[in-house]
Amino acid sequence: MAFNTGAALLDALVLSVVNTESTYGYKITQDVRAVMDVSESTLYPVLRRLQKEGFLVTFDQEFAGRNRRYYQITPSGLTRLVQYRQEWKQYAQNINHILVGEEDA
Amino acid sequence: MTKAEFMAQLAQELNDLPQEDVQDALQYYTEYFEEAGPENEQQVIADLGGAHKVANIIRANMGLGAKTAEEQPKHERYGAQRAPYDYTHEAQAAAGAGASYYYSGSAAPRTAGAHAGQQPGDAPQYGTRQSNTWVWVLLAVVTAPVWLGLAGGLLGIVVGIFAAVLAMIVAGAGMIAAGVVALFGVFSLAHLTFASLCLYYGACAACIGVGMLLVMGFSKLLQLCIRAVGAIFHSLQRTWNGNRGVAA
Repeated sequence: MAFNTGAALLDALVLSVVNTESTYGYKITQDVRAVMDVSESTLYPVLRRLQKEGFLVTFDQEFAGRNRRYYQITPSGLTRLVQYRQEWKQYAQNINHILVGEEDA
Repeated sequence: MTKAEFMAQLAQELNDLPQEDVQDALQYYTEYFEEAGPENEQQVIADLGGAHKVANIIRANMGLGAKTAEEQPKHERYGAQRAPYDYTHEAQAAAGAGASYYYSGSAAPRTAGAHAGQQPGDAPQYGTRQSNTWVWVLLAVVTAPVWLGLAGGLLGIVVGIFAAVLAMIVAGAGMIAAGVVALFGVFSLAHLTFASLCLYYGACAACIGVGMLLVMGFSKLLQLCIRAVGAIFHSLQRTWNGNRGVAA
């Protein structure tokens, strides 16, 4: 994609993916990479940081005879996500207004 | 490079991090390989960009620099040639720059505008205003010879007008004084004829009259000039305050 995508958007996408359902690192990476051009090695530090900031918690669950670490959104993570969504709507609206014109804005 | 080699190198490159962080990272990537399936091992390592790159990105986000280039295995250097997003981390890692790219004050410039706390519109406006100020300052400095000359010229004109007006008032006062002195006879008038006497007193009266006119007229003009200069200063001050009001 031609457009630059910042760290805040990546955080927002990860929170949103995890908010949909508690899920694991590999799946989160695939879901985010489906819409945003980030390298696979970028996701782990983001997850780790969101976890340290209290927006995500992890729990371990057995799957097919091995362990899977799931990420789950916290109440403060949800608050942050709601905030991100509002900011994104405003941002997208502003961009559309100039880039696409009135009909889509 | 095999999965085992990848994990070993990752552990080695992270060995100066807190144990808890190292274990967390190793568990994450162990699971990552398992989710991808053993048949995709090589693909995963290629997609991740190699253990060195993975370690550097983690280190950059922990506020640590990259391990030096001498420690970097040569066959791994292709790792940096991927998404533009990584360059932030790589650059930070290389520079040994501050903590997490997102919350620290020393965040990469590219992400600064997208900082969470700000309204989307704020940052660009601020930037424009800043750069405008700089442009004006630069312009003022560069054009200093021109506007300093102009300002000096204008000041000269104003001072000149004031001096002229004041001079006229002083001249008027002088004429009054001369008329009065002449009227009350410093000179001996005995030898003059009546007609000459009339002319003399007439001249004195005219002198006093013209002097009074000069003093009154130019005092009025002086008042107008002072008021005009005051008004100009006021409007300049208002413009200045107005500009500062916008900037603040």
